[in-house]
Amino acid sequence: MAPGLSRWLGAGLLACAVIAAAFVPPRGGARARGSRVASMERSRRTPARLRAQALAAQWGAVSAEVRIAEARARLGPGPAPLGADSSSLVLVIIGPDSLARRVRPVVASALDTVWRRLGLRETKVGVVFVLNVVAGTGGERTYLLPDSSDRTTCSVLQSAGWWARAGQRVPTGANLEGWLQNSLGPCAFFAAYGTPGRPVRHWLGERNFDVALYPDWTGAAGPTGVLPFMYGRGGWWWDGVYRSPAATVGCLGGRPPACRAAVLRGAASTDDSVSRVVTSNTRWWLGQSLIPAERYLADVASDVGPERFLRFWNSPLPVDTALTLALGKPIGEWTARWERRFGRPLPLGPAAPLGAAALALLVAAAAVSIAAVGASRRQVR
Amino acid sequence: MKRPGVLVVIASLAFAAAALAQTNHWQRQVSDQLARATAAFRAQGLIHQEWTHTAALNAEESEALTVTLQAGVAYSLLGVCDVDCEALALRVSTATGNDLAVDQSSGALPVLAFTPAVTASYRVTVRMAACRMNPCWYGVALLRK
Repeated sequence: MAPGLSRWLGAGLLACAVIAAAFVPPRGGARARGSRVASMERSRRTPARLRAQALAAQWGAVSAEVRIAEARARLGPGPAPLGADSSSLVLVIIGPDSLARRVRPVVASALDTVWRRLGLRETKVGVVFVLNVVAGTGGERTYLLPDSSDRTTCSVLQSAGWWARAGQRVPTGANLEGWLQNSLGPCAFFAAYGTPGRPVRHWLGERNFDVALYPDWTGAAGPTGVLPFMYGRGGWWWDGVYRSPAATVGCLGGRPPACRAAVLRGAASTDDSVSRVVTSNTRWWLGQSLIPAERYLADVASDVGPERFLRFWNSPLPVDTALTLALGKPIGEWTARWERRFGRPLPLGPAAPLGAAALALLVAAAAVSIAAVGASRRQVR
Repeated sequence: MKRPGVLVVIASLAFAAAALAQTNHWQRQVSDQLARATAAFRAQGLIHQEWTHTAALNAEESEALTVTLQAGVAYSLLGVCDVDCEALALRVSTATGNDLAVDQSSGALPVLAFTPAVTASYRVTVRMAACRMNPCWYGVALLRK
């Protein structure tokens, strides 16, 4: 062995040990998933931070439950539905009376419009929409899904945005309606289609309801979430692409098997406990397993119609079977085609860019030409 | 710290649920059906209504209720459910789990007729075998001569 080689080998082994010490989880660390409280944000972090975040999320969810319960208890014996067509929708505003009085008429009217636009009237599962105008940035949402003690109510706790501050004008029209519609999230699905059957319930719970966040089955809204960044004119947001799971990237590249894997993530779960509290923060779209997952089930419902979607939603069959039956074609194929609605496929594999390839060919042709010309002029004496 | 908080939440939710659970369309449907069914049974001589119970269940879920039945008395237990319900199953069993009467095949209108041999507490199990849109409301009524 060369005299200096042993030092290099030692340094390499030492570097491996340092890396292992930094990345191997300590004993008793938290798991990345399995917490009773669902969180939309998924990214790789240290076990200690995961545990801290799980505790914080649990605390946040319990606080949200308490706030929702308090708000609902304030309704007393006579709940106040928004209108004759929205008798299953109740609006509660948490905040100073003066602010609540100012905000309520505008929000109630917009919420009633959204409810009717989604085709909802009296529903089996009612929705209590709690708007918190006291704190928050407008991005935090908590959903309290129906459970065994209250099967017929789904609650939304939504923080109002900057517009709820004193002195600000309350927005109206399409912006407010779109925001409220997205805020209804999974609760709109529960209202429209009831509580999902066990396989779908487990699947959605396992993936934190990420495919049922935007109930836009009317097709009124355009691409949302991370799409404007990833499909913008400036090209691909490669940081976002590299943060995404392999199946997600494959699906962005238009590969049906990857799309199928991205959709069915969590479908094989045998975990009996289904989270009934779903929380999301302002960065919920980071690390999505399907892009744009938030509108996937709404688009499925829009495509296959309410009857077939209801059969899927409530089916006792495994999710892959039920969804394939509803779509009438393989999940991967349908999803790959759906993905194309939002932009061009992500270039995958070692393909060279067109411009670079053309330039290389041009340079090669020039080199060959120069060589040929040189060879033709050479004379052997 | 967590347990009292959860208890407060559950108590509040139960209260709020009761406040929100004003009779909806499906609940009224079940109440009407139950009233009509008990009226029809009364015409057949089953004049005493022991109790009725209405609630909501998701598909494949069940609920167990306890009733005290008198020995030698002929009872009828009938069940109805809302328009989305496709199959409701009823079962009456002893406290130790032995079946006294079972109806698993009557679709959405199961009826059980039975006469207990001993006076005791019995368990009535209602199972929502199939429901097109969860949850499905159901009602059961116990009648006797």
